[in-house]
Amino acid sequence: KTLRLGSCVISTNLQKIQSTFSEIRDSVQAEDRNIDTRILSKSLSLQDTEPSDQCCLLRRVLRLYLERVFKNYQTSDPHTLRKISSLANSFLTILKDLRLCHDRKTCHCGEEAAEKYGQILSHFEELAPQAAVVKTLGELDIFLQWLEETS
Amino acid sequence: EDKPNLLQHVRFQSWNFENILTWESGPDSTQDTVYSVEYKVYGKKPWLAKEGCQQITRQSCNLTAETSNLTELYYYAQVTATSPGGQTTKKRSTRFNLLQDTAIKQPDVTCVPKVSSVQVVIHPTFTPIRGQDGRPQTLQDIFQDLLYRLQLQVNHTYAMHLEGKQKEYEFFGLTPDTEFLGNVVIFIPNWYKKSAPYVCRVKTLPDRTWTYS
Repeated sequence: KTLRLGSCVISTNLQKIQSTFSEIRDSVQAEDRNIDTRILSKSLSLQDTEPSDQCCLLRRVLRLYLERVFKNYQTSDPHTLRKISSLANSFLTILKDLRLCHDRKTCHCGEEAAEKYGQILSHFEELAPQAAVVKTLGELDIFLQWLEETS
Repeated sequence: EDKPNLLQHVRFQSWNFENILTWESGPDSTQDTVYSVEYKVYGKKPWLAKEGCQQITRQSCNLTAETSNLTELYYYAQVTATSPGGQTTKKRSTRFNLLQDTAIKQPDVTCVPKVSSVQVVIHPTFTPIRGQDGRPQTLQDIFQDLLYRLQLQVNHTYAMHLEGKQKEYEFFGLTPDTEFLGNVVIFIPNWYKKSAPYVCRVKTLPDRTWTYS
């Protein structure tokens, strides 16, 4: 699948990521006690962001998952752990490809990217740490839908 | 005091965006247990009561109209079971993802036999979802990568295959006055969705050209 993020174009295996997440989706989402709020709100979506800022926003959200979600998700279930490790590897691959765009100056961080990522982060930090990790992981299907719509 | 279990397995079952909430009675429920359904958009506060599914005895509720907004996409439902004695059990569904969790029914197809070919016409599948213009959306409107896969079994060892996004296909080079088995499947790669096959048994027409010469 080709993701078009302004003038940054990368390919990724969205289907594999979706398939991996679907195996743990219900169990992770069931842990989310606070279904009145949402971290990846519709108004912050990647597809509704200026194309020139999409790459930067994507990089930041990928890093949020890698550095604060996958790393801190607590479970004793080996199956879930394996799936999360696979998701993390897929995200690292995307991030590596986006680095090339950054090196070629096609991954500009403008105001919109900073504003939207700032809101995502504040939603994340409003929650207790583990609740934020669980909710963000449970919203991975929302994030993948964003990627789907930029392809 | 032991909580009664009047209810279990609350879940959405969805085909072509017809979204039905179903549940099962629990070990402690009786014929007189009644059920009330609420639904909500994930990330928004209010639970909303579903009209027509309050204090009912049946174990399903059609939530299609309430869960058909392609810009919201993520929903929950919950059922409260109440026993004659006033005891209650409340159970919630898993998070329903409109695009991911709907299954695809078999396509609506017409197979038209000719002398040495079989024409296959696939009719559009309309859904309860409406576009911004209010027009009912077809599956193809919603899933841009939707395609059809057709197969015609010619004999035990040989089958013909066609695939594409268009609605009309034709299998050529067939023997007249012979029976063939065809099947058509809807395939949506991005969401790994595959419909049940539509199967048609069709016989090519006899070749009458020789009778007049």
